[in-house]
Amino acid sequence: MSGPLLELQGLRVRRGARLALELSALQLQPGEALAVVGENGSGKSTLLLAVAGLLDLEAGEIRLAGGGAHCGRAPAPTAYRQALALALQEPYPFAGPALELATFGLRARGVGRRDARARARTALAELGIEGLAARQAPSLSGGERKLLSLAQLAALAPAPGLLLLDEPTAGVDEAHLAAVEGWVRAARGRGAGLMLATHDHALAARLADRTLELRAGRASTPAP
Amino acid sequence: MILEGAGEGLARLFAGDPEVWGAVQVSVGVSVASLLLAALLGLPLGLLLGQARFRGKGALRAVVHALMATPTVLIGLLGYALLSRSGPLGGLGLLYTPTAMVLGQAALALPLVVGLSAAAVEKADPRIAQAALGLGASRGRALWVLSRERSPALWAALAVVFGRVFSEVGISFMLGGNILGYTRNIATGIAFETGRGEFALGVALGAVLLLVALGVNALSAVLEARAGER
Repeated sequence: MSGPLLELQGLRVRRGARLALELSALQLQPGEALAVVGENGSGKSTLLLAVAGLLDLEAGEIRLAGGGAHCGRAPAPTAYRQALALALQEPYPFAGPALELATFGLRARGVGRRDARARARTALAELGIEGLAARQAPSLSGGERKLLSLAQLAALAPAPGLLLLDEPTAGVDEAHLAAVEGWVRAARGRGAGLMLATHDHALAARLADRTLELRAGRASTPAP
Repeated sequence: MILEGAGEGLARLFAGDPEVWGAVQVSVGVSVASLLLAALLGLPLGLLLGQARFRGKGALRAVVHALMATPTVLIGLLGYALLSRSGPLGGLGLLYTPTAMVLGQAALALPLVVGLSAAAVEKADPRIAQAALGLGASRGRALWVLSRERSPALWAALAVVFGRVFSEVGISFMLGGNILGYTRNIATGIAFETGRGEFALGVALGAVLLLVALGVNALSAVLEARAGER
């Protein structure tokens, strides 16, 4: 792939009346990982939601290789959103067995049920939660739900090009931490770019090539 | 006299009186058909009103809310003007038929279904749409996921609307004509029989109406509680 995976310029996002994010420029190359750090309310989740094409942009544009651009009103076009995948900070407890939920992104991309289930099963195993396949999602613990939301992204391998992970290890126990980090490294190895919002500076140092620190919606350390 | 009538009425109800059960049949058939028709049109509109963003949404919501309070007798009057022999749709010969009652009740139910289903999805957790769209779902698919997640609240809304159309009198009287064994339903039966001093039949029909109303309200409460848990 030539050129940047993600290119963002002149971004301004409001949440209600509050200016929640103002970022002049940001680029991400294929296979590169960017950690977004900052205090609560600094704009980390807002940045990920905006890049995911789920928030209105008051100004600016986000370009995604193979997906076109998001500017103006959300949600961004389906082609843009299918060039990435987002794992929310607090996954919603959808009704249904974990295996079925892990197929969601694949089914949204037109993959047949049988193929999607096979790939979802592999993804659950990759994150060390194959034992949860038959469990009803609302009965899962917070950490298990988080792992399931990551498995939804893992099931999409080798696509999409950009993975957006909001606090991917929050609530995840030590035993599964290695599986999460292993999956992230494997995804990067396949050329996926990564944006990772976290409070955990040690995790950021282990997984990311560089760090963007946000303070009150603005970059306090410019991302190189 | 009323107590005497009540005793006799309940006896007729349990004895399977054809006049009582005929009216029950008309009520159930017409109300279910009108609810289905209103749900078919109203649920997609309600989901869009609740979730989509467009210019004039506030005004449209205000119109829907105003229509939710339309008196049934007014809908009956408008329906009569349309369907009577000299009306624009008079040639269809629908006046004083169950079909006319279904259309009138559907007109009553439609804004209720739109307004209540819009409210049901507006209250939805924003993470539902975010999760679906963030995993690449089309807007239509995301709306489907949202309606599935909110289905207890949507069912509760439909239960409330069913209770409303099942118990209305004005539309049934004006468009159905209260023809015994054809368009007489529970509500028009009660009004008619009580008007001519036949308390027994009125009480028997009233008992069924009360039972259905209580059942529908209980169902709605259970579904609302389930919707609130999620």
